[in-house]
Amino acid sequence: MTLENLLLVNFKNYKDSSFNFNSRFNFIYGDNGNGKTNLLEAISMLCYTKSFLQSSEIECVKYGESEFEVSGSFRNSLNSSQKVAYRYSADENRKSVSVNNEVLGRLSSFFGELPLVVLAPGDLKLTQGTPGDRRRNFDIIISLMSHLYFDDLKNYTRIVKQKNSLLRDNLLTKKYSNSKLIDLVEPWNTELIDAGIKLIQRRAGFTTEFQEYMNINFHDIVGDRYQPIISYKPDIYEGFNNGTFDVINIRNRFENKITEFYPLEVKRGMSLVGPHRDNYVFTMLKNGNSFDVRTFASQGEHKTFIVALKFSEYEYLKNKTESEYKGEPILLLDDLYSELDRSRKEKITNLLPKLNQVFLTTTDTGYLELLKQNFKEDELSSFNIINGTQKAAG
Amino acid sequence: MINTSETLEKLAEELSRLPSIGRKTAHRIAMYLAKSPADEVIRLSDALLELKEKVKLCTVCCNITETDPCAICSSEKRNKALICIVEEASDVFAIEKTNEFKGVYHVLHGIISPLDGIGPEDIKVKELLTRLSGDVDEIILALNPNVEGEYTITYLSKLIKPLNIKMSRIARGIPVGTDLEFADEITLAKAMEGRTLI
Ligand SMILES: Nc1ncnc2c1ncn2[C@@H]1O[C@H](COP(=O)(O)OP(=O)(O)OP(=O)(O)O)[C@@H](O)[C@H]1O
Ligand SMILES: [Mg+2]
Ligand SMILES: [Zn+2]
Repeated sequence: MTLENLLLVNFKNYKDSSFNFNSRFNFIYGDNGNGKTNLLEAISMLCYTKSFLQSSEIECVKYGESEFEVSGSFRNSLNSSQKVAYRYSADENRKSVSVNNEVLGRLSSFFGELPLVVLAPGDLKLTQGTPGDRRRNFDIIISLMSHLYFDDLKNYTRIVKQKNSLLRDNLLTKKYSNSKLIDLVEPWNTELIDAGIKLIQRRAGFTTEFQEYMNINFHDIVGDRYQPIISYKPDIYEGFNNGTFDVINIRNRFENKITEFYPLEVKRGMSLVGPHRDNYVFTMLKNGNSFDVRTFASQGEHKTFIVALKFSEYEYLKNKTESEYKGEPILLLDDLYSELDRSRKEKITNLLPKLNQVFLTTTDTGYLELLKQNFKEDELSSFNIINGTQKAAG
Repeated sequence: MINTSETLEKLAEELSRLPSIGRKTAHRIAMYLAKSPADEVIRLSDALLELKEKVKLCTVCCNITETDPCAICSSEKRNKALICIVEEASDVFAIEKTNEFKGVYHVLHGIISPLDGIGPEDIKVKELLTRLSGDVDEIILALNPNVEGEYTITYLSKLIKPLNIKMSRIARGIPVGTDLEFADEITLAKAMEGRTLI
């Protein structure tokens, strides 16, 4: 899949700008604060029907304006084109997404139609941040691949919210007696376990498959001095080393833990057991020692890990959705080169030509020379962004 | 905003309590009524009063009705030992259109949803249990296939289980996320046919 053009009207610092993109490589450069990231954000809004930066719509409206529009044409592997338009009006607080001029009823059914992988500076929180940051990242990838997972995840999240609401309200109002409360919580637990098992199995299966992609991409960037390891740590197996992922085992452990934690859940007024508390742990094997990326990695090592992770996501999605008409994902690389040493920069640059359509931003035009060695002339377009407008460039 | 008529504001406020009427729409309706001929407005207000006077809930099935018991509950042709449990009166209407169901109904008037502050005591569960102490052979749970529908099914089936009544739920032939009210007749008819025991 490729994005052919993009129109931005009153989107962040863009008043009215349009772009015609290269189907291979788009080099977007400009000084700080001119709108490079905003441009990528606009692309993500079309693909995900929300911003990868999780900006609220109202933050995206240009200061002093009341509505914005972002639209673009995507071409899939069957060579048919889809015009996607995202409109938001602050006055009515209403957003609408249309595909070929038809307004979508349910946005969630569109998720995954336009596969996209994003590397952003904020992704440093993947290795450094909370379990929730990592869960969210992988949930997006699995959801892009599987509608079923996306649906299960939505249901699961809703169940947790309902259960939390019941427990929290009762903590405040003491409306129900102890035995009545158990009767009311139990059916939520039944649902939570049923939906949770599906998530756990998917996440476990995903992690195993994904590891191989990670090995290859990591190796391509740093050789074999390090080996990256991604371990899935389901909440229900916390403190257990030998949890297996067959349904019976998961169910047993899930039921036991949820029973064990019930008194604490009532006391705290929230649900404390299940995949909404899962974690993924990143470790690296270096010279025979294994260390936790989160605490021991250097700046550059964090970045390397994340670049390899994002390239792996790209390959993973590409292979998983191969049989579909969508075509390969689009890759957004915001500020790809920062933190990396020269050797890694070069190795990563060498990997770029095998990708589908790439959008790369940087403040340093010097990289253009490096890139030109890897792409044919007509495969590379560059865009100089100055305060929300595009300065004519090659 | 300067409020030019307290009466109009009061009406708008009442109207905005209605489902799917926002503040803007409520104002528009109030304004429209203010400008309408008197007899039109009187007809509307009469219709509202008449509604309140004549339309009530059936004391048996809690469906909306003008006669008590309702036409379905008092029909000789309906099997009173077979009860189909639905969320809303509109669901009864949807199932009746299929002409396939020969039992009677029980309308819960809502679904259990802590996020909306609705517990079992806020819907017609007590009425259902009273009813089940009579002669009932079978129950069909025809609730929407969403998180709250599933919960309510599990909750009710736990209550009903000790009563030794056969229980089934309509098959999940209905696309997830579609409300019963909007499911087409064929899907709904099929779903009734393919109900599964719980
Ligand atoms: N709603 C808005 N209306 C107008 N301008 C906005 C709005 N939101 C953000 N901006 C402006 O956009 C600019 C940031 O743009 P962006 O993050 O795309 O910069 P960048 O080119 O990626 O910079 P860097 O190189 O530092 O990453 C800021 O100057 C900010 O003031
Ligand atoms: Mg930026
Ligand atoms: Zn009745």
